[in-house]
Amino acid sequence: MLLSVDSLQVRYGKAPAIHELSLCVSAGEIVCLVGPNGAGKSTCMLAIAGVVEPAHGDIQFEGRSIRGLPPETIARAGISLVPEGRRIFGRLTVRENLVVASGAQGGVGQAKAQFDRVLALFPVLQERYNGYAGQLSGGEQQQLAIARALICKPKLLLVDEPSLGLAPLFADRVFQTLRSLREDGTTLLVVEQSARRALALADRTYLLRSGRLILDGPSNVLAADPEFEHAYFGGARRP
Amino acid sequence: MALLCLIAVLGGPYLTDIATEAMIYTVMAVGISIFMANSGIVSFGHVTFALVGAYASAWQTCCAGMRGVFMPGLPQFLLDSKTPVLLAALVASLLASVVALVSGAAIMRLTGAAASIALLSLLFIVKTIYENWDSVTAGQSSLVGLPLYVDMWTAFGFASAAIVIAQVYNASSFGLLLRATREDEAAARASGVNIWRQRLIAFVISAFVTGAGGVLYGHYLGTLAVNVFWLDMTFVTLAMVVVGGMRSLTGAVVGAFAVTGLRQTLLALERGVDLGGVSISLPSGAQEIALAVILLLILTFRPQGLVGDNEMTWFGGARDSS
Repeated sequence: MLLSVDSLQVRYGKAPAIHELSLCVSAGEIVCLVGPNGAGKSTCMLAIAGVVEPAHGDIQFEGRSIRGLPPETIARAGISLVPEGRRIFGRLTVRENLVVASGAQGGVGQAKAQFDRVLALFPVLQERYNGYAGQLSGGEQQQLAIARALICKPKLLLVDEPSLGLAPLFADRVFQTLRSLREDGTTLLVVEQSARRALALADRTYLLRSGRLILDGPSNVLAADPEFEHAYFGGARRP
Repeated sequence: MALLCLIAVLGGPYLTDIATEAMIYTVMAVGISIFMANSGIVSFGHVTFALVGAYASAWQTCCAGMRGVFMPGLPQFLLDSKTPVLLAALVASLLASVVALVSGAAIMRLTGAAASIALLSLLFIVKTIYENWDSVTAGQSSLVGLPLYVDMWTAFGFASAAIVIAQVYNASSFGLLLRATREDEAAARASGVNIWRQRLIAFVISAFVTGAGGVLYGHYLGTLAVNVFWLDMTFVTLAMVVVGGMRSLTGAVVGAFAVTGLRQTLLALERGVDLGGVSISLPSGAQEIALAVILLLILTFRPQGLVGDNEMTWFGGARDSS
């Protein structure tokens, strides 16, 4: 198991954002977290990346607990986060955005090969290589955010709402890219609001609502489950 | 800038003085800018390092045989030392760096306004210590008789060195990583950047350069008093960095010259101008008020400063601040 989250509980002040959540991701998988606003999806990602600290529970990566480690240490251990809302470094160039993140892993020679590999995935970044990241379009910025996370060759890529604020056409392209990443051997944990997109992308899907796990299973099973839509939008789960 | 010096040489002692002062302030402004431009944290406390640097240089070089009279508390090796002035300047600037390393280890964990205020507190603490540490700083009275080795060319040399240090830092990966934290802290950390370490590195380098500025200041005036390194100087040096461009090294240099020129003009006006037998003078204090007004205008209408985010290369062409 690459990542396993066990009885995770996260609070913002006194308000619990995640009551209790257990999930796991195996190497080579794409796993999606879906659910409505406030379900705790992003919080879960932030907790794994070390940005927020869990109140209870454990997070294990490659068999070692990473709970409570600072985000930079977790990044160096091989978990990269594509944060919600992209959060690229606007007044740095595209190249500099990538250079900053490349420090997390690998020597110079290895980094060069990885730059070529990532730029081949995102040709538009090659075109705008020395332009300011803040001047890219929303879709391009999302590509840069993913490229930045990939540049240090992560073992696990966390992607938080990649389609947020993107036109459907661009969102489709981003999802296409995520699919091609898996073919290259990257393991992905993706948060997505759109259940349709999530089920089409993921091997397995977890459905969260109000900080609790509601349903989980292989995506094709959930997609066929009439229960799923009902559970997504609320109401008790029928026995 | 060499051109500017030549003009100043031909322009008589008054202009020479202004140019010297501008370049001393350039050293300080560049020092502050190394930290501020890359970290995005506004520092209200960098004058601390000018203070530490200035006094550390005085300990090594001041007042010939009178050192023991002014500062009886100095250890024997300092009382006896006949350090060459430039070596003393180096040692003094290093001491400023050490102060930055120790205080920064704590302060650099803070962010944004909290860091700014903690830096201001640092200035309060160090100033109070120096004001009351009579035996080594002469307390609230002035030290007189520092060797006057700072002329325009010395100041020019120091200013050039400061700019080179800043350029080397800005071009380094340390500078880049710190700028990434300025843009987005959380994203930088998630990209593996240790914010505390990067800030501390910049803080120590910038304290070194600002400390050198303080050394120059002391040896330019020949006298030192603790209360010179206080809120006035904090305001003036910050105004330089902000007027020029808070995220740009060129901005710090341009700002230092612009603000010094402006202050000197206003000071001259405060002393009075003869117009056909009628002497007109601005009320004293007009200088500070005018500077504050200009600062407000800049912040309102051109918050990125005179030069914005641009940098000049040595050859005069503009390039982006990468």
